[in-house]
Amino acid sequence: MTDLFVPTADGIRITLPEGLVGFLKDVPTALDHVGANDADPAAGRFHVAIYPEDDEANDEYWRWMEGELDQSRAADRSAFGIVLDSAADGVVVSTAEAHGILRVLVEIRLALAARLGVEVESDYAGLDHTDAIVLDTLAELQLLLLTAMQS
Amino acid sequence: MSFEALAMPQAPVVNPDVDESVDTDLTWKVVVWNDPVNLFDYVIWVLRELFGHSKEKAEKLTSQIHHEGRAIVNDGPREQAEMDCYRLHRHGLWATLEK
Repeated sequence: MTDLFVPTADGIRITLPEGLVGFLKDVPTALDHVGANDADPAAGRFHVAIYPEDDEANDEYWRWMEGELDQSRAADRSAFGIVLDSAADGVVVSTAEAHGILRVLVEIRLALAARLGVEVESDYAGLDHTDAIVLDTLAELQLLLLTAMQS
Repeated sequence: MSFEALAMPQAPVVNPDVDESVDTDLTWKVVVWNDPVNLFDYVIWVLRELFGHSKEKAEKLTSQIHHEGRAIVNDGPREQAEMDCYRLHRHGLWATLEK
């Protein structure tokens, strides 16, 4: 997996195996409804109370910021989907686009971990093998992209 | 006509109507909390990217978050601190504000 993200003069060249593209294409769909339903364990992770002891201030903050945050997350996911359409053949993305892709990889890992009940580090030990592989794969992709961005 | 006659009349000085109860403590701390999902290297990168911290400072703060459960990563007026929180949330970090 070392040559999936390669720094170039114009940004980062992304070349992903088709199997990985297929897996990642499901990501934006999985994130579409994050936060829409309080029963979703991931909802709280994406809607942090920034004033933990002041509900009124917290509500006011989210009244102003929620739409903007949702919009920027949706834009990242949309760009992520467009990049994936060409990623099997190889595509060069700008630094800003690479940042957006990294944010989506972070988001999906956070959402999945929350839905799998990971609240403390020791919870990883109790994960189903397949779930653990998915989280590990997403972590590895994050680190590879991060390394390419910092090269 | 003298120059004095052309001068603008002096407006009476009126003390501004200031609400003394307004909170004058302008400094808010931006706190990032430990979570079991975000990667160490990613948190370091976010802190450098968003706040321009040096590699050493970002590593120290990330280590503090990991070992002590939280760290103050920036501070400033409320509006700026809220924007910092927004940017941290956009990057998936768990951030709150406190005085």
